[in-house]
Amino acid sequence: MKKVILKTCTVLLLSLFIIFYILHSFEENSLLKLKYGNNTLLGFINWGMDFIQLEWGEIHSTGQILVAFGSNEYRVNVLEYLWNTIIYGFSGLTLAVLLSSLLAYLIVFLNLRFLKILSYTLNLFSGIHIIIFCFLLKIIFGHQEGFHILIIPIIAIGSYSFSDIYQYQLDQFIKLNQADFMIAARSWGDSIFLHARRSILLGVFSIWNSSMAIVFTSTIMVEYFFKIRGVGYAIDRYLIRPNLNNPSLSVESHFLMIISALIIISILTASLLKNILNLKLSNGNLS
Amino acid sequence: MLFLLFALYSFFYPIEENVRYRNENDELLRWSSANQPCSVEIDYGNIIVGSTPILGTDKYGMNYAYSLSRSLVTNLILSLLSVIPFLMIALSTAIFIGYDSQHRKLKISTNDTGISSLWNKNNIGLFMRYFVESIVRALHAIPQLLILIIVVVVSYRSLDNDLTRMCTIMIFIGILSAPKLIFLIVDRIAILERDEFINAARASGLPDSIIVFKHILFYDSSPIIFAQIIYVIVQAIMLETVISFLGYGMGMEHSSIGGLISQYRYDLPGVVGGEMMALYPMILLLLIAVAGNTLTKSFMEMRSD
Repeated sequence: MKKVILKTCTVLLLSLFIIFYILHSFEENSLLKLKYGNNTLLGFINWGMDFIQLEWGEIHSTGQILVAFGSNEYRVNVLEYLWNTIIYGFSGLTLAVLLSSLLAYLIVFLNLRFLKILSYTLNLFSGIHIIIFCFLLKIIFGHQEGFHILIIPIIAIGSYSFSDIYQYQLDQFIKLNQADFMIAARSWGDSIFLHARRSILLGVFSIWNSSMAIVFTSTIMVEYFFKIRGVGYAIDRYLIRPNLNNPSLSVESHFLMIISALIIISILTASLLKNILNLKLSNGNLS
Repeated sequence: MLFLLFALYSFFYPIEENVRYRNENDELLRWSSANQPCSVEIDYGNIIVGSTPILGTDKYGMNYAYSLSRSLVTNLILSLLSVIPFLMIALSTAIFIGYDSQHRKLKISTNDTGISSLWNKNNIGLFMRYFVESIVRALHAIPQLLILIIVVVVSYRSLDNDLTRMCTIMIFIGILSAPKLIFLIVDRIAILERDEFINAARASGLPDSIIVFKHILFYDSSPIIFAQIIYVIVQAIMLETVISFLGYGMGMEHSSIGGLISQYRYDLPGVVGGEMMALYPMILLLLIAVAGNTLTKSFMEMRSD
């Protein structure tokens, strides 16, 4: 357990440092350089202290302060945007996991071969980039802005996650189906699901982690495309539009650092929880 | 193969760059279908009577097939820029992390607390490996689009030349795609070590370089590597589209698929005066994605066999 936590903390610090380094060093008049000085390492430590104390800086172009709670015309609530993105991403990922696991289960354990065509089609679609799905939703359904019920299936299928999860689950289920205890259970007439649920759950936790970052990327893209209030929308409003309209403005480094930090913390926290749960499941502490 | 043949079209007909198709009123023939009688203006002056080309004309009265082919070539060249750093970084790092030439244990004992145990052993090599592995995990944890947006926005101010900026972004895409292949190869090496394959190869007197390059990378991991190369090429093409869509594309003079989609976005069906032909770049993108997916799958099936 200690090792998992240490590893996660190391990854978190390194990933934040990589982003800080790019924002701090690649731009001549970086806002981070102005606030934290020219030394990247010291600057990163100071930024980390500010981050913990919730002093997240401001948006340079509008002068709005970045805050964690409560928003008005002078304050931008970053957590609100992140929360929306997490909800959309989580819903998409859950749908991908449920659909792929269900299809794999029905094909392997209940031998429903005709579902193979459906899974093959979904796998093929899963390789298509989310931006094409966004265009199609816009063209076919005429959807311009805001949330649409099809956005969740788009996130589920259009982020490679469905294909990855399905392939993994199919391999696992085929192995599971040939396991001795499953053959014994079948011959006794026991419920297959009852014996397989533990292994299925372990598989779901194993693939959840690798899909998180991809799903976040897709969700940000969809939010940007359809102007749905989330991280993608915030990036468009506070970063891309001011940057394109007025290239003389400095890059919103504070905003980018906070957004990146919060997203990475969310992903790594989910991954840490998954690892802990996985350990407990493997040890048989949870049934 | 069909994609490569289509890409060659712009090489065979470079003259189409300076050809414009016009109607009887001498206006540019926009979004015209194939084989329509028209006047063809060559090199901005010479006009001959002819017909529209195989895929018709685009928004600017140019040969649509030529525009698409040229864009495909641009994207393929750009994606190759991603593949080179991707392969270099992924292969060298995977071998560095996964292959242990002196039989030292890569994994840290569960009783120890990671870094401290490494320092106690005073083993810089192992520490370096732990450090590199952590960097790879860190890169893997950052959402690709997020870090790409950061690179795009920062380079937009730092690099004035559109082409240089896009090349830099493509190199970054290659670097950011490397962790997936690194972990796949490290897993393969772990499996081979478990199966005593590497020990047997060493015992038979094979040098490490032969074991690594011939047996591990070429014989065992080549389908995974090729599948990942295809994945990176498709991913680079898709991300170029996203970047162009965000407004940070290469501009009009360097035609790309993303650039075409961005230029035609107000001509797409569903908006006033929409044109079905404006969907062609997207159909091309769709075909690339499906072809890439099918190729990746066949490489993975080859590995299973």
